[in-house]
Amino acid sequence: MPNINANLTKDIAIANQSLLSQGMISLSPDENTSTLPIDLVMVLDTSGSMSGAGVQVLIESVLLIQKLMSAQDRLAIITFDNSAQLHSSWVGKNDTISGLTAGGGTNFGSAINELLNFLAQHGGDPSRAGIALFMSDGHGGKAADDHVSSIPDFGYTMHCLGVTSGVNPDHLEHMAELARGRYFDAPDFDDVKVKFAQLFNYGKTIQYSAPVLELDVANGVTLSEVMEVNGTALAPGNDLGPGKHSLALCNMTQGNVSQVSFKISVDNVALGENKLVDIGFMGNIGTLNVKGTDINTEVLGASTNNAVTVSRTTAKATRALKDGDTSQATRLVTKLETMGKTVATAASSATTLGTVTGSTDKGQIHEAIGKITVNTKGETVTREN
Amino acid sequence: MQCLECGKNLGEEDLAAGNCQGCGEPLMPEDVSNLESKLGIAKEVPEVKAPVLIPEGGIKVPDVLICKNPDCGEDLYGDDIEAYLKGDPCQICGQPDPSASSTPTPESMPSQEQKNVEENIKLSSMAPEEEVPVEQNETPPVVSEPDATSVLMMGKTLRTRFCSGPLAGTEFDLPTGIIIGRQLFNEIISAESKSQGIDLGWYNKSISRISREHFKLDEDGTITDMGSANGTILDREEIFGEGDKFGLGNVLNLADEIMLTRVHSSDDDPSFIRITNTETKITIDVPQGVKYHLGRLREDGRREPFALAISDHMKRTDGMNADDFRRISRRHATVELQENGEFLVENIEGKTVTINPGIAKSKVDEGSTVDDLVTGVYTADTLGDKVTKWSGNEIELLQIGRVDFNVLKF
Repeated sequence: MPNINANLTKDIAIANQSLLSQGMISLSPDENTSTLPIDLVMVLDTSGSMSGAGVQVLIESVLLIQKLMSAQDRLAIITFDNSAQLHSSWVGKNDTISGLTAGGGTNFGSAINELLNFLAQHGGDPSRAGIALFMSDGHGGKAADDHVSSIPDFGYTMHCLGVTSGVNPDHLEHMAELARGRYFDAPDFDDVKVKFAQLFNYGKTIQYSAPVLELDVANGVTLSEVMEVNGTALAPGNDLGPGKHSLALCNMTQGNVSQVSFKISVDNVALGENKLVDIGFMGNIGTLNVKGTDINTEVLGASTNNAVTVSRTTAKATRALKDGDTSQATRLVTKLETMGKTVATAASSATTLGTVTGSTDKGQIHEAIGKITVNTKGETVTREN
Repeated sequence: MQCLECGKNLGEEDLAAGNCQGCGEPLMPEDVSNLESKLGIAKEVPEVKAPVLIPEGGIKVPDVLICKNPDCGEDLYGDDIEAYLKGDPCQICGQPDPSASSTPTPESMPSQEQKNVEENIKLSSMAPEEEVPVEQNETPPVVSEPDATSVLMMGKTLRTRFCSGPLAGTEFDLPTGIIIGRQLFNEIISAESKSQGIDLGWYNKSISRISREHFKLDEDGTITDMGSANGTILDREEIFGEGDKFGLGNVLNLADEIMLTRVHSSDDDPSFIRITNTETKITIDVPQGVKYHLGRLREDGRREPFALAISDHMKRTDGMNADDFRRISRRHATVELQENGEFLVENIEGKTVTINPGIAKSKVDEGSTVDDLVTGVYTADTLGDKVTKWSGNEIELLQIGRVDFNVLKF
């Protein structure tokens, strides 16, 4: 079973007072958990803008994916222009796929609906890593946010690949975030095959596909700004008040830890142990507690949990980068740099984020953010694949 | 010692929680150390520094100072420079000036900033108390020291209006040629709160984030950031040192909180349009010939400042729902006052743009040179209806998605 750790900035507080704090839930995969075979659904833009060289690259990329597949992996293809259709249902490594042609307009909504129809029949298998790959230049009729955000309900994450030099990465990155996936930037068609291979290699490291974090928040407690370290908002625009909540997370991959950070308010901390949140994740359970005391010196002398501060500040910085607020991101990175003089994990965050804040290309920024993760030492790092 | 995010004075309760109890921001290790020292509960005895003697005439504070630590070399601004010259560590690398002596080098003339401070002390002390009111809200912004500005300053002013908060649309004068900071806004907002009889606690956090010496305006509107802690942003571009002009159609954002727009003056070209979001009263004046975009993102993908001001206001105001705003397209529609005096409204990528719905056709025909039917819904999918013209003096209701604007011609 995976390991669950939950902490506040300080796990002790003054009793009979309200408390405003920061918290983090750290989730580590069981070392014995193996990676999952891949179910890859490619959602390919075959509109007019992809005709000629574009569609040729698509065909070559699909053939490349088939080469990379193991015998247990499966591939399905949905194509879309003005409307969407299932081009190929599950095919294996050695199956033949019919050709692709391009033409017509671009309708994201139809593509997402066709994907959801397909997942309704074939999704929801926790023994397989469900990956959808949405490929487009980002210009098209918008899909409904609630449709996109329901993709993880089927155990799938959807990643977006932005192609052509005129790509609009904001739209695609937004869809990738809603579907708990990553954005891949491929301004030239030459990049497309490389990114396909990267995505497939990433897929091979998945241990939990679109896992769900269950939270039962106690009365008088509210969580807000719930985010993963890569800035993915897990409850966008909503506070999590008392009661049960299910949050779809990004995939958990080999050698990495998922960190969910949040702001937390407690109406009143009682004397003694206070259970704030019950946590359930992939068959394991945990709790987030705070101990109330009336001895001020005990609280003042308690050390702060730097891991919480680092995770929270990193998540806020990546969120600011996603929102295009580079000045806010730079300030937070400067904070991490200063903290990094005494806290090694803060230094790793500052270094990782520093390279992203230096970029001016939106597509590259979105892709770099998608690669940010936490290793088992608690360091913020960039995925190699 | 204040929280850099919300301006709350940090104390024991914040140290106990490890977070600011005003906004929840975590305290960094150096914040904790400083707070422990301040509260006299430091775990280690803090280093005792020799007293710093300030020479008569003051210390000249340059605009920018480079940290002398060879491993750092970062630029320091504003208050950080003064602290560094007094022997405090660099705010970036934490190392003090290796060549610093306990007595700073005296300068024969005081700096312009110090002149301003001294002048304001005089002005403030001469002014009747009621002329410089200080609002007593639950958590008032604390201005314990005289600021670099005062509303009593003379000289040319630039007419400006608030573009955020309950005072959205309220106009006031910004002085030119002097350094403007927290105190000016504290005074203006306090005065408005009294005269309008409304609670303006909305601005408390905003004011606290403005530096004591934040920015300076020249008579032509050129804006210079004075090394403010939380930044001066003009049309979403942060200004470092001297920046562009703050003119019609621009949104000035101080410390990522207080937003302002310029009001048309006699010095500007005579023709302009005034666009007002009817729900928030947030208003901007736009010169003739400028296609002003009413959508969420600029062409470069960054957020439109006017739209940002409206959505920020809606999100922070009880009873307003920002959901409708989020349905505006990233690139939605533009409105322009053309040289012939006609409005030109263009739907660029928006879902719906509606002009004066419900106005009778006969009214449209009076004085109208419009070829198309002017009422109705214009969609991006319908070619031919993407651009429309309107020759009246006002677009009473311009609906961008579900958000309403009024556009007046002058």
